[in-house]
Amino acid sequence: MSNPSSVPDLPSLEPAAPSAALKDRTLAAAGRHAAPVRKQRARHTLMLVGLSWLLAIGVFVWAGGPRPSGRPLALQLGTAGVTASIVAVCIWALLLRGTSSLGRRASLLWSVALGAVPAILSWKVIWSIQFEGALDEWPGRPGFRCLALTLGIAACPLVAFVIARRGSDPKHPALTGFAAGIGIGATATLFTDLWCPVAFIPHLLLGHALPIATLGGFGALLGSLFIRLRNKEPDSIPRT
Amino acid sequence: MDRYAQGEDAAFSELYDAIAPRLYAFILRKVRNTERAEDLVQQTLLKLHCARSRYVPGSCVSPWAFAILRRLHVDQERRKKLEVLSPDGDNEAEATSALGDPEESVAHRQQLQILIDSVLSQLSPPQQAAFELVHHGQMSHAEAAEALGTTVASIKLRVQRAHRTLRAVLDSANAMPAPSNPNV
Repeated sequence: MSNPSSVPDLPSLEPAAPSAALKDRTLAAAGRHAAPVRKQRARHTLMLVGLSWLLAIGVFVWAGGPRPSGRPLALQLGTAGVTASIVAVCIWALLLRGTSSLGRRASLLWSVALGAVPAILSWKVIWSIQFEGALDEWPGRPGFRCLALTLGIAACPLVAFVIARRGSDPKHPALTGFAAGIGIGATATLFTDLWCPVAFIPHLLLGHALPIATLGGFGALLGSLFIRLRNKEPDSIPRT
Repeated sequence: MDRYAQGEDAAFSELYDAIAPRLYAFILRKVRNTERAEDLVQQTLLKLHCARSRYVPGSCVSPWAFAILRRLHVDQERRKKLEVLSPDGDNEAEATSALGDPEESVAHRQQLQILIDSVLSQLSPPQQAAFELVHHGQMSHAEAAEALGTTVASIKLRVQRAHRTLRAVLDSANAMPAPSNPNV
């Protein structure tokens, strides 16, 4: 650990050390509170996240699963392949904590979260332009079903994420929740893209972009309520 | 911390020895009350204990611990603002005696402390946070950057600017004796 730079013109104002009793008190209090170890937490998280995504896939299958609807295979593969790559980046940056126990840096979360939706939509439009009629309007498909499907797929994984991270973020819980909402929403959109053949831009905005933004907002709310570090009243900590 | 996260309970004592004095020194300067400082340190360590399974192997514990401590302190301050409190004169006196050396002039140290605190409170919040973590929390620039979610270069810049401001005020006030110890 490199030492901080010294300040030659400032005097030393060394504070006293904590009392010896504090150590005994802290160790005793820790002994009274059982805390899970890493393996237990990993098992619990894996089960929770696995179950939530099983439910999400169940919703997708219940809605009909992948539907080509006359789309060329190249259109489907191209859309899904690149969207999957964007989603992989989102999962890596927005849902995993990286190399710090404090999670990802705010600047990374913001940039990936705000870039995800434009990237997914831009690619879908750019790729669909290559295929005649792919961007045409579909009467009777304004996008509400896609909106509902995306929200339905993402609901369980988002709740699972909040449960897995509850009470853990001392820095920016709302941003963590927002990022999770965007990341999970982007993943859900990958499923919706397999289901929905429409690439008409207003439809994409309503049915594919809006749910991701909604999930981001909902994630921010859940984050500020549940992911934030909870404080305990000092009086509730035993001093003997 | 890694051993503790894997379930070796005895490692908590070592973790305490490594981190508690730094946390205490840091927070005592902010709350200026030994009892409150100890409460906050205890809460922080209990949070670390409860969250030990969330520790990322190989990562540095200090930024995590200081971030928790800062959050607990901020929350406590917010709660305090909502409550009607009696004047804190006794606490100031207690903190001064805790910081002071009986051989030195308590009055001088108190004046100096008030001056430094007043200058620090005039710094921008990012500069203040960086200065406090690096000097009072004895963190490296990299650790402070991780705790504040910014870059090392940004921390260096903030600390440098805080130094400049502090030095200018202290020089102009001519309140400083010749330095006997180069560290803050």
